[in-house]
Amino acid sequence: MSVITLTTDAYSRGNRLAEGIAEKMGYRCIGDDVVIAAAAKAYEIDKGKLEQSLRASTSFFNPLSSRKYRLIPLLEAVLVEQMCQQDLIYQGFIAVSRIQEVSHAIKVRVIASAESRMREVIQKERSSGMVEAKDRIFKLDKERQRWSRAIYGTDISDPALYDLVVNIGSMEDEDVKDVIETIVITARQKKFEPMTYSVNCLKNIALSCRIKAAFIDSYPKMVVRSDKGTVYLLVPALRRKNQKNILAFKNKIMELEGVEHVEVYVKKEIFDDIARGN
Amino acid sequence: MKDTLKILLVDDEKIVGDRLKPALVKVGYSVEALVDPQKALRRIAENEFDIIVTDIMMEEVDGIQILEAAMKKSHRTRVIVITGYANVNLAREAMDKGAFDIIEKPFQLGDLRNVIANAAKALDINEEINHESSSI
Repeated sequence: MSVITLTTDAYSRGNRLAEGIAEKMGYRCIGDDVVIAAAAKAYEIDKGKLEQSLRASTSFFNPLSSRKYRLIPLLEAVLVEQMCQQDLIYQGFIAVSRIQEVSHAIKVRVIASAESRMREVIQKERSSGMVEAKDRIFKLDKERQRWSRAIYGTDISDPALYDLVVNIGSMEDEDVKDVIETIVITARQKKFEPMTYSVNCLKNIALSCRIKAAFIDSYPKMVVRSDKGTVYLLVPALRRKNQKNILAFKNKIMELEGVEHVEVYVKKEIFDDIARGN
Repeated sequence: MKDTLKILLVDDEKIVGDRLKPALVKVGYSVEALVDPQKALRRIAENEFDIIVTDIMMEEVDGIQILEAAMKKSHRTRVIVITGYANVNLAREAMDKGAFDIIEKPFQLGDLRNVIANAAKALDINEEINHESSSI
């Protein structure tokens, strides 16, 4: 199943672009609202809390331990599952860093000029003027960068994360049309076709995300990697009394669909960052 | 479409050919297994294979060169890349150069059989299209 992720800054007409591409490609188009609704239903969690987890400003103190960040894996699990099931265009920034190795997932970033974004703010929010609009954009961009660093250790605005970066410029209708055409032409290249290897890559990520989401409350810092049904867990510093429960924990994971074998590694906290390449 | 699909297996690890060839012959394919990629290039120049299954990491000649030679000889040939060193860049390069599919090692024999069946189906469809366009 083909995947396009479209990451835009706030007030950059991301929805319109995503819908335009989806229409041309015949893909389903989803945004964070769909992902949030699906995660709320699947994990029986309040939608508002999930929305907050995407908007939350980060704290200096170990953000991953915070309750709101524990909700991100739930969103990731739902989103990656959707990517496995159908041709999809996703407009947002969840999991873009997670699917870097998936060759059939085209990661696109679209940048719009500050002036046109400010005009969009004024129009949509009835903001009083350009200065206020500029402050709002600056604040949102910074917040999103901090969020991305806290969750993925990457800067969402880093071009290295993307296969295609397009500067849309002024966001006039003609510009939007041209950008849609550029993205569609890129997406139709043979190198972005799904293949056995890339489909398995995505399935591995989906399984890892599901496991992470299922045990997020018990093991929020657990690192999960999967390879065709074999699951590798790096559990940082289990307490001595919990170590006795590893067998029970393994058995619980074995019950999940798609899991054939489980290996659990217990490491001290310092190895957590190393395992994630930080 | 031809009755028996002609498949060329190229892997410098002899065990791969030794295991795959009998399993594919059993299904009814005509299979030639080679461990020497130089020899494979010569065979590709001489013959048009329906399907080529090639490893990537080989000494002297790599799988990408096999793929390029196969595509140069005939765009009809379906090339399936098998590799233990798959990554996003390699996958995209191989697809860009005309690979039909890429499978990461180790794989189950059934996985390869499925991909070969898909390649055979694609050949079938392709030949039907060619036949129809030549009849017009």
